[in-house]
Amino acid sequence: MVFSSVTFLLAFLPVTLLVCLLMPGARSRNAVLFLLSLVFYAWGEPVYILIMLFSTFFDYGNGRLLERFEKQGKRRAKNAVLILSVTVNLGLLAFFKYTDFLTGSLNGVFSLGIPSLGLRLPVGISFYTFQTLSYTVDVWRGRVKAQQDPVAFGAYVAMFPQLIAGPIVRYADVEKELSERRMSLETVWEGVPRFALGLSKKALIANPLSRYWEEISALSGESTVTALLGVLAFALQLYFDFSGYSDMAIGIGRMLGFHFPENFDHPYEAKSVSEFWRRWHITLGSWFREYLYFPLGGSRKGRARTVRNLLFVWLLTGLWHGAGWNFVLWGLWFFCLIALEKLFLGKLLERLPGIFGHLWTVGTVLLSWVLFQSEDLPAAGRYLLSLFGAHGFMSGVSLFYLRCAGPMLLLAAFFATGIPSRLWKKLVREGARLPFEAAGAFLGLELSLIEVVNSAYNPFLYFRF
Amino acid sequence: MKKLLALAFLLLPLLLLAGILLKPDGEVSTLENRTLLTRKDLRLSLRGNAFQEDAETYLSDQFPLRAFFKAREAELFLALGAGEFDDLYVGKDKRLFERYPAFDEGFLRKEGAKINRLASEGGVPVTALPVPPAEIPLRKLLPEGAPVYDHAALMKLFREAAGEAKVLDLAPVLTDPGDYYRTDHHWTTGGAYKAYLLWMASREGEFYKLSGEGKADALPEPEAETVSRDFRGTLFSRAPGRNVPPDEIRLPPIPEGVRAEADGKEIPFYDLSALEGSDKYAVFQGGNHGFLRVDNPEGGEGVLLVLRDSFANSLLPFLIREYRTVILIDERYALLDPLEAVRTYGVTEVLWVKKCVP
Repeated sequence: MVFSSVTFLLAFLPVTLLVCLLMPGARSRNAVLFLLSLVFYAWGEPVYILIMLFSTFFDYGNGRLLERFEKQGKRRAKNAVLILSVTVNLGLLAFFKYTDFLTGSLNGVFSLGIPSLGLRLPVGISFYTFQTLSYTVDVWRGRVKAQQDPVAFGAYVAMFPQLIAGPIVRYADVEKELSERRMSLETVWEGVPRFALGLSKKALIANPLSRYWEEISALSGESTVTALLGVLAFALQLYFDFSGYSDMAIGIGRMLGFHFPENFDHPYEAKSVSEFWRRWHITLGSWFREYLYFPLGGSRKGRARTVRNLLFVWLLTGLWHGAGWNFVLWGLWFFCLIALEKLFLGKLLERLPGIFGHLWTVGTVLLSWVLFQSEDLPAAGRYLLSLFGAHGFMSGVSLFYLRCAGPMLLLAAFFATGIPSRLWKKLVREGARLPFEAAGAFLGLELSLIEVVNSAYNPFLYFRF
Repeated sequence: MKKLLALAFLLLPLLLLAGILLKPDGEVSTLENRTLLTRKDLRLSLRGNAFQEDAETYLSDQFPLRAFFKAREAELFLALGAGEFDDLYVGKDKRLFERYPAFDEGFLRKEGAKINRLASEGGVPVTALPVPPAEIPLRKLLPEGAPVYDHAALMKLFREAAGEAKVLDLAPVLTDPGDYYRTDHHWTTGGAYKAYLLWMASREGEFYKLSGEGKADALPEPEAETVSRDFRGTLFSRAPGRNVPPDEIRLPPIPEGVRAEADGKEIPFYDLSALEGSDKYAVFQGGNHGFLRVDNPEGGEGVLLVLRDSFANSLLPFLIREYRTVILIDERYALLDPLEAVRTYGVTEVLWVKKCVP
């Protein structure tokens, strides 16, 4: 199921919240949450739900085993369980996501002719696999206690707010709240403005913007201005789509009594690429930092090691986003930029006026989106050529898109900055916010609902994860 | 207060849902000119995504005031001067255009091969009249800079595929705004008449004329009767704002004794009852038929076979003047081999007339 659908907004969400609200305690709430989340998942993914269930109960079992072996002092067995969990989890992910990429690339290089499996990617596998992995690693480390109740663990993994599109919620983040949270009409209201904000971002900004990249990237021989408008539209669409989804997840989490971690912090305001990645898809960055970068030594083992570790992290970050060479290059692009910044560029940018950092960040990130979203490498290459003036600076088509997309882009760019939220905090003091929040939330919800009803099905970009 | 607000948040959607489920289902949206999904149409299978898709479509289609909101949205965007809406271009005076950023090469090759085969094996002259969408000849009326496909490239590809058949280019001919409807993707009676003249001028040999002798381009346009000033067509259904000016429909006179038969049953040549509904273009022979046969006892000796889509509906009043029999086949609805039809009906000429971007 999709958040921006009538089925979810009029039926699933209110019913689920009401039922959870009426349950007497955390245990029964978890059971209801788990069950209804399975319905949510199966609604769109009736077959591959079995994979998610397997993943869930497999790592539940691993958690219990790790705990038992810890008590028995069997370190070797503990390590074996960890290795098993990591292998199976990553193996599943790799199998569904990367097999055809691997065989395709091998075919290309060695002319092998291995047939592709044509497997569809189980929705959300990249998210829930990372979540269950965070659990087993943290149990192994002793960071968290193994969850005894399979239903609670199931609720953690399958929880519908973040199951298919994040934020990546580490078990450690919600360990306490799984058994000790409060849910009431008050907590429900506390999540509403956030949820409404997210839905409005998706329905009222991201959806209308989505046509421009599609249209412009299908043209050939565009001028610089046209190409720029296209990539700007994509950059904003992706931000509002993804951050909107995270807002909705966090909002619903709050309604249910959970405090999910933030996932976006006005990333386009960043003054360096390193800073950008501390503000964009925050939970992914921190997952890689926690479970890959730091175990490899982070930046504490000398320059060469740091660069190597960064390379690993960025190659995998790129691959996580998709099974394709454009994603690998996309990751490598950020590796180069971040390595440069760590070596000397970061300090330089700090000494220059902020505008340079902004331009550097926005410019390099926009270029990265061309790689990210182009169908293949030649297409990305062609687009970049257009962007850099291979077909002239401006054209009639540029005027057309300036006129059509211009106003929407300006509005979106404004709302992508932190200015509206800072203004809001300054102008309205905390105690007086309720009426405005309520009015804004209901208005946003209503307009978004109308937009959802009026428009065709518009799926979320990060759903191929 | 927060409790009340939370209750409102939880209960209002359920009230809306109840509203949808408790009221009788609407079957048709006249504003959008389409049927709506009703609860009896819901596919109840649990395999695949059929039920889920239908559930979502059902809830959207039956959403209260849905058409109202769609109309207001269109009005708002059009009033603000939007150049695009719902994948349509909005040109001068809120004139609506279908948007074609590219053309379908597969379609052109397939159709071209078909008429090439007819031309070489059928033993009768074959002419093709690919109809360009309004955005091509009326480019000046589009918002400035709006990208359109390369029509010259389309014609080149189609001509190559059509081989032995003759292909006529309508783009230089249909350049008057009055040649296409403003709210519908079809050509007007005036546009169809110009196409008819172009085709007549291209044919060799004698042809039967209703009025006077002389060359084709000297034939005056027959006095057409305006039967509706309130036509809002297919494009309006996607942008149903009150601020979109309507079209007129004009019907040219047809010779006496003309008889039309579709799939074995006689039908009126002009179905005037269609003028009372929202799909007024169906006044032409009642809409799409897979197989339509029209006989004109006062017509000439020939039998014309037309491979067509709905554009031929408004071209037919002119075509029927020249022939004893016109057979029209819409291959989307009828499985008939044109070559066989040529042999069965003693066809003397073939005309292919379809929109060149399906």
